Amino acid sequence: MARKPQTAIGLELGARLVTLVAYDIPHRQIQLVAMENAPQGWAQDISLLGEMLRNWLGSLGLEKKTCVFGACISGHDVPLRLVELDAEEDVESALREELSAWSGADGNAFFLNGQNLSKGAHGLPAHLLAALPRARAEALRSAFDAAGYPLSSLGLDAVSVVNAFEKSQPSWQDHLAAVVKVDAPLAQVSWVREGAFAGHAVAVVAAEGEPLEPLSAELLRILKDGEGLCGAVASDCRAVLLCGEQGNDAGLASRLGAQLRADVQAMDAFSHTPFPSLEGNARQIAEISPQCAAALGMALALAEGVAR
Amino acid sequence: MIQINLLADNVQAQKPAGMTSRTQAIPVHSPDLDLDLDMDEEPKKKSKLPLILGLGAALAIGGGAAAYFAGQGEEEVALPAATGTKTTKPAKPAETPKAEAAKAPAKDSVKAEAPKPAEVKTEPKAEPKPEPKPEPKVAVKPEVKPEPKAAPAAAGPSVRAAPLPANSLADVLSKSHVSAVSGEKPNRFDALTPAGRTAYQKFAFQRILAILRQITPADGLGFSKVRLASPGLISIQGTATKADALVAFQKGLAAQSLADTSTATGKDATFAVVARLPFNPSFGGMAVPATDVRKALQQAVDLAAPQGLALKASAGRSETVAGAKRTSWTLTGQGGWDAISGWMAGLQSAASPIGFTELVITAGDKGKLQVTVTAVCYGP
Repeated sequence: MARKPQTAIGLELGARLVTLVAYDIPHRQIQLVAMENAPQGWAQDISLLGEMLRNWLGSLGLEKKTCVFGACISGHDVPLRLVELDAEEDVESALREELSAWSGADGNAFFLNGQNLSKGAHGLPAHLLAALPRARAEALRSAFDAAGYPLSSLGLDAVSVVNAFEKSQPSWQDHLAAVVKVDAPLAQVSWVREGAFAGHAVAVVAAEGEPLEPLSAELLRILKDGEGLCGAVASDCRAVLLCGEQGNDAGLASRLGAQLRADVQAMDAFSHTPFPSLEGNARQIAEISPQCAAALGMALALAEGVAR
Repeated sequence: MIQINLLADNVQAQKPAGMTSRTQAIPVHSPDLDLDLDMDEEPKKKSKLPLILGLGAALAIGGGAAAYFAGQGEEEVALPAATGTKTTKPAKPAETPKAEAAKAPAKDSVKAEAPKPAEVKTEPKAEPKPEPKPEPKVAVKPEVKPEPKAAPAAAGPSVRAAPLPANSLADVLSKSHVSAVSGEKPNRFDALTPAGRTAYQKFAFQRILAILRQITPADGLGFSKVRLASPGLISIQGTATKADALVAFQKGLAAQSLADTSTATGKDATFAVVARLPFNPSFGGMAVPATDVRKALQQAVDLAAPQGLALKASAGRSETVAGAKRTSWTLTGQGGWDAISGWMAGLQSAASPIGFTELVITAGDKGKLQVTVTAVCYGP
């Protein structure tokens, strides 16, 4: 009989950095946090990722048999949105049709996830639609298999940070908030209304020079216009939580904060999750927590899925 | 908790209108793990099945005994004594009703005896089952897994980040274009308007404090005095108990684009470091002139209080600088790093017209930091 999974490993596969959060399921606490530079160009050649994972995860001494692995990739270039559907329609075929319309590709070429989550622009129940080309998902799965760490779940960072937000920021659960994941030169805005996913928008600027300046201007536009937001108006937004690689950049927070009525702050993703190995070192936790939000959200979702 | 898993197709059936949920589940599947096992720490609800079965068994025994006794009359009184020999303790209470049962009619004796074996049989079955499950979970894991060694080292982002060449940030920012503001931006602090200077001072001080906190090693370095001066100078005095810590600190300053870094070391591992934040014309602060400097000062003091920084202001001193009236005060108080940073951020958020020409942090009482700030404000 297989052993019980004791540890949920959440990984964020970023373009530059791979972040890992190991969550001890029985004790509900963080066991380990680690970061490693991602191999350049792994998105084009996923075998590079497998090689790196084998070496890196091996060096961390993770006990494979009792770990369950989940990874999230960037949600900036995959369909991720809320769709209102007619109650009589078959959900899957309707979502595939929508997907074909947006992507211009055959909807069947995607792995497709749909969940009833929130209300759409017209106040009707909306489905969160997330999709990934089957070939890409299979390649990622193969990379993990080749490294010897079979993947149980594959998610999107924009969704994972919402999960981390739900756990770490209960005081904002009853309001409209924007979780902004900043990995210059791109940023993703995940809208969260009363605890439910309420939309997604992406800001991308040219990668030349210092991209934070134009990125902050683009983010300001999205946050003011409420781009991607369903069923609410942006002026109701009470909080902007920054996470990602540049999530604790004070300059970015002050730029946004100076122009918005909302409270702009770096997301303290570990605020409601015990972290014994860094206990008492609040400063270090505060510094790394915005960067670890996606990996933490993945680990938490994985742990919850395991517990069910 | 939203759960999507793009390793397969997963579409939930549509729910009735108006129904929303925070915890939707698409089952996680793992090829080699038994995920059906319950991992919840919360105690599981006790199943009533053993109790029902036990009661059923008791009733059946009772019923059987009743039927037996009803048919046998007084002879059955000896039966409990015979069964009682199997277990030592339950046999005793079984004997007391025996005597009574001998006097009483047969039906009554059956009623008195029947519940007793039921209690003895059901309890051991119902109780031990839920208890052993959680025990090994709690006991085994923390001891087996050593405290993660990699966490503190791997967790430090400054260690992983590739250092930027000195001045690179300022170079890039000076070349960047800002669409929101028309006209040319001043490229020197002196060229800013009086209100712009105070806005820049707040930005620079906050930025330097953030860098300082980010790059300071967890141990091996102790600061005795930190001094920030307008527009972006920092001098630090302290003690380095580990030589590597001071080197790492210097590298960190360079990696964060602090320029003109110089270090002097003295006796007993003391050191002094001086660095400068290059002028950044795109700092993004809002230049708001003051309408009433006293109110501006009061607002600054009020913003410090919620951060746990109780500031006292000296009497104001006015002078004319660059053709504008400038009032300065010395603010003193005690608090932590978070309080100081939070206060700075609060001033920026509130677009306060207050700026700083100097901020000195030294050791205060009860582990707090003593803060002395020279605050300035342009205006009537």
